[in-house]
Amino acid sequence: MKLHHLRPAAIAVAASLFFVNPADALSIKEYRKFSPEQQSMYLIGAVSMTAFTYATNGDPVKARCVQNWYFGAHKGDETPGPHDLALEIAAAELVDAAKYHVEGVILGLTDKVCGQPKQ
Amino acid sequence: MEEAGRLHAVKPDATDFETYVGKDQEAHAAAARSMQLADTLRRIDELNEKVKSGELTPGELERARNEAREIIGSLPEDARKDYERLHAARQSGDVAYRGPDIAPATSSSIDVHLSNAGSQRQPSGATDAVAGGVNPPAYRGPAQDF
Repeated sequence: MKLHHLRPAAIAVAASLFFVNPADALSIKEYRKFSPEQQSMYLIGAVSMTAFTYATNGDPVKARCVQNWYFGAHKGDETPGPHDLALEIAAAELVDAAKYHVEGVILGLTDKVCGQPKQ
Repeated sequence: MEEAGRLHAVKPDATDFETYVGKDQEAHAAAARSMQLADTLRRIDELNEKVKSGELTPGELERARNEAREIIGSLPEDARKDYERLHAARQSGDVAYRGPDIAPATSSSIDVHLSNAGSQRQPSGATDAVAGGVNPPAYRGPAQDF
């Protein structure tokens, strides 16, 4: 499937997951059922959505930090996000793939990297 | 497209679609390597379990130990760090995680905005169908009786 077809779908799925009952969020076990291409595309949508939600809720500093951590501030920036997130998802999978959600790992890791969200 | 072009002119060095594509590929490669390392870890754990439970003969035990050492030793430096992170997580159960139930204060305030937007009086021509509820959009008039 073409990238430009997947991206809006991934963003929509990721967006919806932030607003649903956590019990309905995507566990890593379920996430691994996607193809590798769909998994990485899903992460892009979910990280974008995380940055977007912080920005729209009065925490632009954290939004920018999340954005820069994963995508970089400028074209061609090397960023730790894709590697670190993939590693942390694999770590959570080893501990308990059914218990941990992809979105929870993103939130936890971005809290570690960018600090706790504003209350 | 016009807006994208305007923004690009304002900030030509900003991340673009190619950046997203590149990050997608990076995520893909990183996930593949992490999963490979996790498999390695599982394999070594299996060998250790067999050693502990005495399922292996002394010869097999020696071979298993050598195999485990070779697997770990063959990892490049950065992959070994990743391996150690996975190993530590498995040992301690420590994972960077925050439950989506305490997701950014976000959802509630967005819900409020959506709710407010939905309960605004619609332009003339709209129907107030549900008392105290969300009005149907202006384009949905009363059903026509054909």
